[in-house]
Amino acid sequence: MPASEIARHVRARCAADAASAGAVRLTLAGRSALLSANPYVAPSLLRTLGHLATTAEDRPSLTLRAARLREEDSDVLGTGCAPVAGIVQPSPDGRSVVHVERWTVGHLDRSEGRIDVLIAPAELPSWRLAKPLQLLLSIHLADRGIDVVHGAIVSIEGRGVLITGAGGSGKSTAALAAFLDGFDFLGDDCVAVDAGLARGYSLYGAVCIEHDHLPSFGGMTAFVQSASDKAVVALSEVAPQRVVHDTELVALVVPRFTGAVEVTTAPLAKRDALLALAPGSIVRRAVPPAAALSRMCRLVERLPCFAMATGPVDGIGPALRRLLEET
Amino acid sequence: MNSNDVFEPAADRVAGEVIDGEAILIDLVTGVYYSMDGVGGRIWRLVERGVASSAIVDAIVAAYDVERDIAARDVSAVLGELTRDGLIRRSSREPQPADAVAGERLPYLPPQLQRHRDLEDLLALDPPSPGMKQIPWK
Repeated sequence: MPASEIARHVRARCAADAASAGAVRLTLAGRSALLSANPYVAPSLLRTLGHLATTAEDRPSLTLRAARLREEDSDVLGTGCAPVAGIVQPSPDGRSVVHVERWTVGHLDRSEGRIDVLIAPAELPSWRLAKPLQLLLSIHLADRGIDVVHGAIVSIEGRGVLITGAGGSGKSTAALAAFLDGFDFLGDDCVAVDAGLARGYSLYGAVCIEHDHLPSFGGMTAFVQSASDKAVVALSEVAPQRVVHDTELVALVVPRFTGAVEVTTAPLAKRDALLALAPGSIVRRAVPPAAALSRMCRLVERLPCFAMATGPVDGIGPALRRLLEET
Repeated sequence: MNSNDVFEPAADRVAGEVIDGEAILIDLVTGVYYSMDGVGGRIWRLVERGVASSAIVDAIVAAYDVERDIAARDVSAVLGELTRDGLIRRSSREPQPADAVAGERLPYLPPQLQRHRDLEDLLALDPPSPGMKQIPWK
């Protein structure tokens, strides 16, 4: 089905289904957004986006409407044939982007600042349950000079650390360990960054944890939302006041598990910091590659960068505290 | 390689930046990313600027304590590698001058193009959504 017809279908369904839903105002990367979600899909969205709720009534720069993806929608839109990564269909003029996945069909109007999406929450894999609309949000934010990066952010008293690195380097572990140690949390592997302002923003308040890793984070087991592959934990339900919207960024940390007895940090060459941040945030991502790399380069030049040799999980929080005190 | 050849980054395929004199290049097609320090970073800067290959050699000799024939060999080797990996291509644009180099010549270390392949396998196993590359950006 042509992208224009998919867009028309999704907009019409959202206009009908989400119209009667209550609207929630969110602060998304420092800007106002308005979320209207059908009661069937609202709980799953609010579980991961609800921490961004605000009482501010600025004119929204993004309108999000979400309705249920029904079987008849799937038949019409052909979602059953979509690959796991989904299909992206931009319009020739680039104003409109459609993203078709098996369990979500979204449309972004880049000029109007509107995302309409049909979702089947019961069918979503854990990584999509925890981080919905990631591609379309990335495009919307990139159009405004804000990059969604492959990294985690934790902070204390408004001073934040961007934790980045290759897959499996320990970003999520470090972020969760810091959270358990009392840090504020903004994201474990997908966060937004304004390089010009050196500010980090939370997008999602839910994280995915391997089921057999949950005992390491004992306090969270009561908040698991069941999913077939990983456990989805809404940290905003664990400690609502400590999942925050945004923070100043004062340091960049690249973790590496060494098994050392003590967790230590040491200065890291800018080149190595950029190598840790940029490739994973650009390759396979819906970002303008050259502009995003340039912005990340400016951010790395601006922030003190450190390598963190990790060992025991409970040593990570104290090591990050020491680093923040010295930075 | 002709000494008057001018090259340009393959903008549809590579994103590159120089930080602290080191070039970081990302191949958006394969997921391989590269780093080149010192002399290599300077070569990349000169390619971006559109300096002809012979003038790149001149600039390296002016900046580093190296014999011209060695510099020419190494510049040719790097440009060849970048070309073979699809990161640069011959350009039809007019050659641009390199900036004048002042000060003492720095110690010379042959440029090395370091490849990082950890994302390459990931990209092969889990390619991006079809259509992603067609998204136009301002």
